Amino acid sequence: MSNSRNEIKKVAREIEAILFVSTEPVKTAELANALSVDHETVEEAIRCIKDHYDLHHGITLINVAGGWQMATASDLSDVIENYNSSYGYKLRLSKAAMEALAIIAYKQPITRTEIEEIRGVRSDKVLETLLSSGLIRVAGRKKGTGLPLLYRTTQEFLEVFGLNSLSELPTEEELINEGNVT
Amino acid sequence: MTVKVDYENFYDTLITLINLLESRQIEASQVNVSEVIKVYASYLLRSEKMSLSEIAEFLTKAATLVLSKVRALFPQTADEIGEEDKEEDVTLDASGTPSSTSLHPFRVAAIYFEILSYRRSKHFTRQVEEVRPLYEVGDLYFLASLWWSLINKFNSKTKPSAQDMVNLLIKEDPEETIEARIEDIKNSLSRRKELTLLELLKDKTGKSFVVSTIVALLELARIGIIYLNQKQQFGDIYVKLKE
Repeated sequence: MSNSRNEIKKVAREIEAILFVSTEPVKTAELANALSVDHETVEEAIRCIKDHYDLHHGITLINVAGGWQMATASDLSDVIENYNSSYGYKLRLSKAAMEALAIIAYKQPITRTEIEEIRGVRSDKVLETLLSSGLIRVAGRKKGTGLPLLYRTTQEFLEVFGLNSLSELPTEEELINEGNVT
Repeated sequence: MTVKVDYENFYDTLITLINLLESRQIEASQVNVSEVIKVYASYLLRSEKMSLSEIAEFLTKAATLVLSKVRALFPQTADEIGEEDKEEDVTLDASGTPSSTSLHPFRVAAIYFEILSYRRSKHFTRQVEEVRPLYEVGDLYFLASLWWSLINKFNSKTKPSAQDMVNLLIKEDPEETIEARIEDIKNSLSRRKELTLLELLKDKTGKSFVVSTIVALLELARIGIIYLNQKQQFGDIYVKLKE
């Protein structure tokens, strides 16, 4: 279906207004539903806005946690920090917590014991840290002896690491074979 | 393992290098700090402009690199390990012996997460004023907020909007207004002394017709013109003219 240039422009303005007021990523389906247009039109309008921003503005659109969000351009981060150093999400996780988070991200849903089996050390403290930072959540109990809690990563995990979905992560095979993480 | 420090993604590569060194996946003696500085100098010359904070960041990373290299040259002591890293070994059963090979991909993934976090930190988004509540397992506040959000979601789907109610009572057809229905019912009852609700509705099952008929019947009962009687639960309603 081909959309007229004027319709795309109109939808782009409407999307821009929605993303401006939203503090969380907005999914393409939500935008399509709110504006009563198809996904194709929304995606084309988003492309137009993003291209325009990247060329002429200090803001851009980022695709995180399955949605779109307005953000400042990455090359202007020092400007924002100079203006107010309290802005932005400062993630401070220990190596142990980052390692446990990686295991949960790849093996979810997973129990504490299973994490400890992989790491070889107790992991209750790091799990508490990850739970309180909102990066993981309890996702039920595993059937079996003791009904241990299962852990999963959250939507916030995707937002914090700038991921659109878990499928964007390199596969375990890639990590083993390549060791290439750039 | 060879880590090539290049101009593209300079900072990402530097973070990877520091992590590999700290986790002792590469030999400290093999890291050529002067080579890293040389690449950085070329990177500086290539860049058209460089902010003070970026230079400061490099100096911090370079210092970390040197520190890691120095530390890695000595055997690790217990008091060097951070609070969270003071983790006891777990006793595993025969099937669950941890091996460096099973942990390796996740260590690489942890480094990858650090790079992602660094890249993401360069983008600033609108701040949420209300901080998301932190919760522990079984926290009643979390359960309550989840419960209310589900109820709101359910209500928004099932509750008719004000416009729906207006549309329901809108006078699209004069015959379907309550007054018209009162007259209609009176006429029907003048011909037959007793009728049922289903007979009054005939084959019309539109919402507004049903509502106006019921309201008209209640009004007629209130002013004492008819009797309403339901002989059994969920049965038909009998409408009888008062003598």
